Amino acid sequence: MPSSGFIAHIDALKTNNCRSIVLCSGKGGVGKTTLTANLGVALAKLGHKTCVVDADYGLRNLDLLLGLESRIVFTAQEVISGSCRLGQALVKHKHEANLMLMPAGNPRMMDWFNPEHMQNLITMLADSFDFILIDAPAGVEDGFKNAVAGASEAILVVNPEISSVRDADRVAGLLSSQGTVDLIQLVINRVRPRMVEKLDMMSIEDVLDILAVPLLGVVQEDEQVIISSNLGEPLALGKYKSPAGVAYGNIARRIQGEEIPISDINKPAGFIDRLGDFLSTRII
Amino acid sequence: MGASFLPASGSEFMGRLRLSGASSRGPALLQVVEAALPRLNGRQSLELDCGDWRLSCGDLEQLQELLLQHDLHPVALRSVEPHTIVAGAALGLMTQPRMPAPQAQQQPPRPPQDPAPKAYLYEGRLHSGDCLEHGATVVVLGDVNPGAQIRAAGDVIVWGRLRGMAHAGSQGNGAARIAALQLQPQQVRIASTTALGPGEHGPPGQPEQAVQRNGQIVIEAATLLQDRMSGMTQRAPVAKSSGKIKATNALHPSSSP
Repeated sequence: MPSSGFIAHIDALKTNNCRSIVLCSGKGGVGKTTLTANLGVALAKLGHKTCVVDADYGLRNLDLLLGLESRIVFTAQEVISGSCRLGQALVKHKHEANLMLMPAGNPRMMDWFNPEHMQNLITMLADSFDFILIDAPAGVEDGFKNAVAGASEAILVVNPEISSVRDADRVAGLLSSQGTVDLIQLVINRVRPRMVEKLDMMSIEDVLDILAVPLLGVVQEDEQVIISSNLGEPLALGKYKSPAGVAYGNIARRIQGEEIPISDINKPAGFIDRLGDFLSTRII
Repeated sequence: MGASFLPASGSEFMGRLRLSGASSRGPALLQVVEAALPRLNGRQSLELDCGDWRLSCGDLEQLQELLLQHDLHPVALRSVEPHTIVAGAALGLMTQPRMPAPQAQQQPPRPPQDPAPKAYLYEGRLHSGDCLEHGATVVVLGDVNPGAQIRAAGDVIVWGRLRGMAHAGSQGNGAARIAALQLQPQQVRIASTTALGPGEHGPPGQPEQAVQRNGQIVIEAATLLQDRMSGMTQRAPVAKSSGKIKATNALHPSSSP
């Protein structure tokens, strides 16, 4: 839980009153992009000017999840080459005026883009935003190094499964040996309480035991996430009630320094919850 | 002083860049090294001898870039500083611990066969993929995570949980041991014997050690250091085991080449 010392630490991280946070995992498919989109929306809803940067140049998806693909005109590529202004490339979200997307250029960016380019891009953005969320690609190669270069904080995204935890541990090791990131926090994504209860899935404690990184939040596996991704409307917009949507909102509030207890996801669900689950799975 | 460059010649197929004296980092590091670099004809592989300089991944990356500009390709790294070794290994360099020895020009800085009495202290957690190697005993204050490796010519002592791979007596000392507050390694090696880890950890609060007996690696309650010191060099291979042998069946001894 964030203590006052922790919050003081967060304040110290702000340069230009802007916090740049990279979301990384090592392993692919754990939900980095989904989390980036939802945290972007959630932070924007809390009134922060937020920019989400797609640093996954090879396989860009962030624009899809935000439903902004068709609105992209210029990208980070043009900004860096100087052929457009920063404001021309930024895409404003349809519903959240505080949220902007910095789209990735074409996949050939991978060949020339380097950490200095990323630092320049983030420095440019830092003047006009409170939060910059950087969606890192999977892997620990050049794309990852580029994504990390501009960030002062990192959020490790991990699924409660052994390969994801192992990869996240490698990433944590790389981040701490590179020494450019001052704060690393953890989001455990796609937890299935029912499986944890039956000891078929790693519990929160098992994951924390290996990674030893402060826990920022836990998100349950939720079918609504897939539905909303396909619609291009992140759950955090609040159109549908869902446990994952609530979890995203809570994580955003913890990022801004609020103390919100992480609910005990391992606690066996009560009868009413089970009945609700049963009904919802049958009806929908 | 700072940096000195020894080009490849005759028996040495690699050039060597030696960092010595007061340590520097960041832009100062690059300046120091650049001053020492010659203009070469054609590319050359290079061994970085970092001495006791404590360098981060970032430092080494910048250094690598500078060296590549001079057609020098760093492939290996030597250091007496564990942080530098771990950073080098993370960048994919071959890492070799270097014994702190007097700077003799002719003497190849190869670690001696007998483990030196000096132990190495690493404070912090070793993450998956990290590899810590040293020519004497290694002491880790912190956990060794699954996927991390420790190699030591002497003992491996972990004040924490050992859940990665540990190799004690890597230069042939069969009397070396691996001890940890919680011993749950994926694999243990002592000298040239290899065994799988026991799978589960022992009773909580009971430090354990892995030692070689009758050519097999067994896990038992950790013994006092003094008991061992007395018989360290001439431990009989058929000594009656003093502690409870745990998970012997789970250990599959096999000779590695």
